[in-house]
Amino acid sequence: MITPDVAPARGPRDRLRQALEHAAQWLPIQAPLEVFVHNNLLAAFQHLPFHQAMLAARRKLGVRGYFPEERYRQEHASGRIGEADLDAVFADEPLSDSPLAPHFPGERAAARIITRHSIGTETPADLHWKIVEDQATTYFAADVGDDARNAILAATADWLQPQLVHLQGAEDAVARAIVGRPAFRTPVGELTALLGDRLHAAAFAERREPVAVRALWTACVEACAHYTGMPVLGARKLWTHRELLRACSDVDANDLVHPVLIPLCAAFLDRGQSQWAMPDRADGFFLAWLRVKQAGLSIRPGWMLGADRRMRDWLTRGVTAEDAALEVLAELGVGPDEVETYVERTLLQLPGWSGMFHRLERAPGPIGRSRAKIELLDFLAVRLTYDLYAFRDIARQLGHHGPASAIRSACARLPQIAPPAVRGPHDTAWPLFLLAQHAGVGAPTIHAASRGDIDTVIAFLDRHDDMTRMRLWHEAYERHYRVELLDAIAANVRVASLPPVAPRFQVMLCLDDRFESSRRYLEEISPEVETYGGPGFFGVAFAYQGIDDPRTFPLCPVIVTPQHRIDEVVLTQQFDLAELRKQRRQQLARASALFGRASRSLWLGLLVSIVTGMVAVVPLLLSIFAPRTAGRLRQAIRRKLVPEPRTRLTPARIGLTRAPDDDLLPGFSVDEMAARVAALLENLGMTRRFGRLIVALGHDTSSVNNPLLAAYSCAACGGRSGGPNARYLAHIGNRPDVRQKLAERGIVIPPDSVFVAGVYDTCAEAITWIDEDLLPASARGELADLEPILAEMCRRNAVERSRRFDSAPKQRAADTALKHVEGRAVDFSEPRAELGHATCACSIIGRRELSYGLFLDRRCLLVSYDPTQDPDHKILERTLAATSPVGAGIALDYYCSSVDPEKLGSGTKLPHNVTALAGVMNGSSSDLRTGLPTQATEMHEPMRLEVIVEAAPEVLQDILTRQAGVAELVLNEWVRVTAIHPETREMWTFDARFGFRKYTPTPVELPLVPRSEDWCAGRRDCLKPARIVTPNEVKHAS
Amino acid sequence: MLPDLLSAGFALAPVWPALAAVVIAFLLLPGRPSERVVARVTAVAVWLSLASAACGVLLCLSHGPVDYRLGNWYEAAEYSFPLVMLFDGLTAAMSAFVAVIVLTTVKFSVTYLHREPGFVRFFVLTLFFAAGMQLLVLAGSAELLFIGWEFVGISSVLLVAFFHERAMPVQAALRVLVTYRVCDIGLLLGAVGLHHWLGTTVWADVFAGLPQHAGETAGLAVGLALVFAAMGKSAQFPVGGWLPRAMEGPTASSAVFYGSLSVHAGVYLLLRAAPLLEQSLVIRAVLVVVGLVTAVIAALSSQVSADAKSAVAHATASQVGLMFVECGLGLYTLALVHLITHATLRYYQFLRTLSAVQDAMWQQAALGRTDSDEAAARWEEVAPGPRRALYRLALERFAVEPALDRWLTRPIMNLSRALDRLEGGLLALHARTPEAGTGAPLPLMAPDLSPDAPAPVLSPALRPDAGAPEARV
Repeated sequence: MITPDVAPARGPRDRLRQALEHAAQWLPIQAPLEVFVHNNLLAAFQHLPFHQAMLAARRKLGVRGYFPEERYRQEHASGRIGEADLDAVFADEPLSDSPLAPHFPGERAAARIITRHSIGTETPADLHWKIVEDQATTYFAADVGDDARNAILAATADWLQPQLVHLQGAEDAVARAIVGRPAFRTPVGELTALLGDRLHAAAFAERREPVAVRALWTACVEACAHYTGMPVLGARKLWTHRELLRACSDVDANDLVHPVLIPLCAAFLDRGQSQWAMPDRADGFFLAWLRVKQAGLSIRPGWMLGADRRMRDWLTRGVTAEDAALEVLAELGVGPDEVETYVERTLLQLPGWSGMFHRLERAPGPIGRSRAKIELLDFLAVRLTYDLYAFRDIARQLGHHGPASAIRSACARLPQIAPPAVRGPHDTAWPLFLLAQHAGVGAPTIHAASRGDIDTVIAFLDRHDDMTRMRLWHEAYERHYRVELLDAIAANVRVASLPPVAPRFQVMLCLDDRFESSRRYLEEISPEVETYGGPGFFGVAFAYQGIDDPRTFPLCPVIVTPQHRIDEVVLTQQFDLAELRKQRRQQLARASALFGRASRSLWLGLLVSIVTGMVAVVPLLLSIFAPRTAGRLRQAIRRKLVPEPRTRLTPARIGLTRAPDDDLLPGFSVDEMAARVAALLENLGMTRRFGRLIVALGHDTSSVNNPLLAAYSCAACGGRSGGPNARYLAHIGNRPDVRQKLAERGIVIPPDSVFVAGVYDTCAEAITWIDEDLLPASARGELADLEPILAEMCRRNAVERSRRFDSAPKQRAADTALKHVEGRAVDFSEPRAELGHATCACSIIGRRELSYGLFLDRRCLLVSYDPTQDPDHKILERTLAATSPVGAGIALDYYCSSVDPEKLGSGTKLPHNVTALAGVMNGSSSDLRTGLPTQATEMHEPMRLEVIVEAAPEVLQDILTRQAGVAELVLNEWVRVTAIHPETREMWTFDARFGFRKYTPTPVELPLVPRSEDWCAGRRDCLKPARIVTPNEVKHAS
Repeated sequence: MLPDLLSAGFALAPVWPALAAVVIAFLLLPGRPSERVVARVTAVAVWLSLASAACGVLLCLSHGPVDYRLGNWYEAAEYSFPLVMLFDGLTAAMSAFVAVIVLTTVKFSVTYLHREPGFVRFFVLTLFFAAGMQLLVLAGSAELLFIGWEFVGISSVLLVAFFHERAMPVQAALRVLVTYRVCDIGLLLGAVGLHHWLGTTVWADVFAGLPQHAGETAGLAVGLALVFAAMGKSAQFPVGGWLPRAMEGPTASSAVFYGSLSVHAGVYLLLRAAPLLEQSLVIRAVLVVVGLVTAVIAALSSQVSADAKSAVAHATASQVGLMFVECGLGLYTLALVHLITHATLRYYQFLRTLSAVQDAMWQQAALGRTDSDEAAARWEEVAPGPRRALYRLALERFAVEPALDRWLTRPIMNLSRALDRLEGGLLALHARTPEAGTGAPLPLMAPDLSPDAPAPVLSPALRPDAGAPEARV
């Protein structure tokens, strides 16, 4: 990737800097654990169209961008992908219907056969197995259709007929035509064995299938003979020292380097795990490494012969990391034109670690800032130095004692253990053979085809390699869901009717897919509740410092930089209590720090392990055998020990318009408050009628022993609890001066409508209220009426969630389910306390009418937006700009982690080991694992987010011209967009090849159930949409 | 009557888990059994094992030590394999402890390993481990202990390699296996030595016969052999390098093996053979020195470890080192108490390693720290030179591994390579080229020689070379 505006590098230093910059863009951008936010794991490729990006990512990073073909075929067999989906996908492919070659099927039909039966090259071992053990060259493949079989049998019989008449004396020629040149027999002997009899016409008539299939195989092998020895497509040229040495010696330099390098990286980047930080971290990794490794006496590993002298020399000469990297690169003989690629390959040996260096270099992260000076260049220099000595050692073992720059040329002269792949005599014939079988093309057609025809067919087969086939399968996989969803929405829109009366309660929730069911249940339980969904920071973005926080944390989406600062302030009369809390917490923390240190130290450890070992039995046994009780006990003790003072948030800012030193303004001014509330209400379309209670439920989660806790919390609040945002919204929403200003803007909130804030724990299904004491008496009465509704919602939610958990009780009793999910939240043996965004698949931006009463299986991000209140589409524009990166980030994080759980995801959680408080390793020495663990993705259906927007397609197109971020996602198809016209309800789906294309929904009759539970309880898999009869409809009907 | 019943009950402690493992293995025959079934069978077995251990505790409290003999497994000329168990306070306490920890592990793992492809395998191995551990504890003779010891070893290795689809766990498991095998030689030599020296390996008889043979060199040799075996299992200097690498398995197995039971088995062996070991001052000195060196190295390594599991693993090794010292000093009760409390604590710490981030965040918040170095700024008062030097040693774990690698592993490997080349040369003299390892591609399709199967089509390019050496001879 060379950007034209960068002037050609002048010297080696510029070249190195530039190379580093270019290489760094391919590194994972994952943040340290405590600020984990979902993002596209292939964000570096986002400038490319989705499918091209998958291809590029495979070339660059060796990752798989789709499910394995086998999986798609299973999904096809189980009905998750239908024939109609394949039809639609192939209809859109730019393929002609004219025959590939004379008597061959058309391109489109051929492509379909190739995809449907996964026809492609096989590994030599597979091919061997199929031919020798499966007798694939004697009998038809099991899935070949009858028509094709009959066509081949008939064609072969016609072709053989004249030859069989004069069989006598021509046996050898006939045998050669059928069996070719067998390896260990004469052709006649081989044919006799095939027929199981001597050669006579009757035997041919009896063994039609073996003869026809073998003749076809022989024809294919002969037709493809000229491909033998050609290089295999896509074979990677061995190029770096490591690859070449490994090919010659079977010793991987990484096996030598990584066990030394990884503990160093961990120790250097450590943000508080170790009790003794690396000395000299402030001088950067390279210098700290030089100094530490040159201090005192030790024994160097055998392969680092001569490294000591060089490092001592570097230290005395005061060599910088840059000098060292250049020196090593030169010594390795990496030419100026190779530097960029070489640096890239070097960094990608340990993408997790180099990515973490890169990430912490740019953004140190809110916790665990250390005095370390972190630079990727330092890491590169150290890594290159180790590489150099490892290469030299391996080269010595191969008998090369010359300079390191000659290693590559020396390797080129040595024999390789596995020589470069070339096409064997059967590799090319095999796909042709299978295609011919399925297409009903017999041996005579192949014999008759010219070499040009065969080349055309082979080129077509090569073009439909596994990436192409997986792409087609995947499109069909996604289309199935899209069609089902759009049809369901179309059907729902026709019948859904919102309660005609003004709502009594209005509940605002995060747009999170987990709240799809919460909103459904609220509406299902009571017609008096109206629900809204939007980004969970409720339009108030600020940096927040609670009474327990050591510093501020941004509570807003990561793309937003907060301008304001909000503190939690203790009420004056409760200062003593707060002081006591602080002291207690400090005492506890000191005790636990001391314990942690002592239990790892020598003599104190003896004492501590004897004393606490006896005590530890109690929490150990209790939390494993009765997790729920243990959790409650822990909470009770904590409440007892650490008192909770009453607090308020920063009051309104008066006067100050610009912050003095730090750029954060203390609190919002009344104007800003009014602007925030107005924007929020306008975004949600909540400007006309108001209920008695306007409830903002901040999103939170709880789980124990979970390094990825932040991934489960509110993504719109930087992976933290949305409680403070809800609280602040309620605070400012209830201010009379703010309401005054809102009324001036035309949003009149009646005085008896009150904002209430709460926190909703999606794991334990528990809701806690904040600042209840501030509510007027009337509102408290209303809240008392709302509480049972919310409690019932939590219970039903627990039932719906439990259907996904194997270990949950199978009865439909809501209380058992609630107990079960409560237990999960505090059980420290539970690797999936909740399932997070797993199965998340779509997003609906529009009025609730579209989805009201529709069972969407907790798979939908619901964003409230009212197009009728948005004449100039400004609201839609900012909603899309704010929500689409978040939604796409979630969906693509899950997508990538699901399709390639080992390279993109972080594999199974079980061996994970929290390292440097920044990431997790497998065991004690591996690369840092990025992405999501399989426990999070195992039931996910990897699809791009299906975004459904209630707007005309022209409006969307117009917005795409202005919002570059959204346009990149949409135009490159990283999300799939469908526009629903606000009035006509016509649908247009976007496809980069065709633009917005009208979609006519198939009229479907949605299953109608009285309660969601009737549809979902007891079923484990993803469910199709259904219609729930909402209470107001029942009233209408009766 | 009662003691007989209790003894019989106690003796069954290793039988239940072994039986359950076999049952689950048979359940695998018709197809993969459901997780629920496996969990039930396992739970029943470990509860029964706990009940057996309770019998042992009762027996010990009511009747004191019992030498329980079930006769011989087999007899040959001048040799018999006695099935004998020694029930005393040490056995009862350890057996009960093992049963509780295994039970806890099973309860933990049923949830933790849910939906894991290796679910059944994990429980079979854990059950085998439980059986081995109980047998090791109950064994009344060195041979029986050796059987339990091997069970523990092999299940440990297989659980380190639990995720065998990746290379690292397999390499680590190989490392553990090699260390175990080398050190197991000690136990084997010890048993054989006992036979030659005292004519028996039954602990009770050995201890009874010791006074007549005090101060003999044979006793020293046997004792050192046993200490060597214990050092391997308990990851002591200089053979402890495998411990941090063994963290590749699921957290639950790391906790039970390397935080809790398996790593303490060496100490148990020392306690079991205490009367034998305390005969010799040399052995006691070796125990103290090995233990102290390990304790210091491991404690310092634990201080600098930047990953949660290694930190706990090193800390474990250091306390186990202190237990070696205690055994060397003859503080057996202290060692036993230390063993059990320490094993419990580390077990808990291991299971909680995944909370490291939340714990650290909470701690930093409560202490008002914004800078992680504040907590980790140790040894600041020491001059930078020595501080760096000590830090380096701690981080490199005092370079024990590179030293072993350079002066032991590499020479052995070089020797074997030289022998391999020599063999190649000798074969070449006979005009035969060695096939494996030369990189010569194997034929794509081997000929199918069964008469009725059609011969595969083989292209001329891949036909066996007509000029193959056989043809020439």
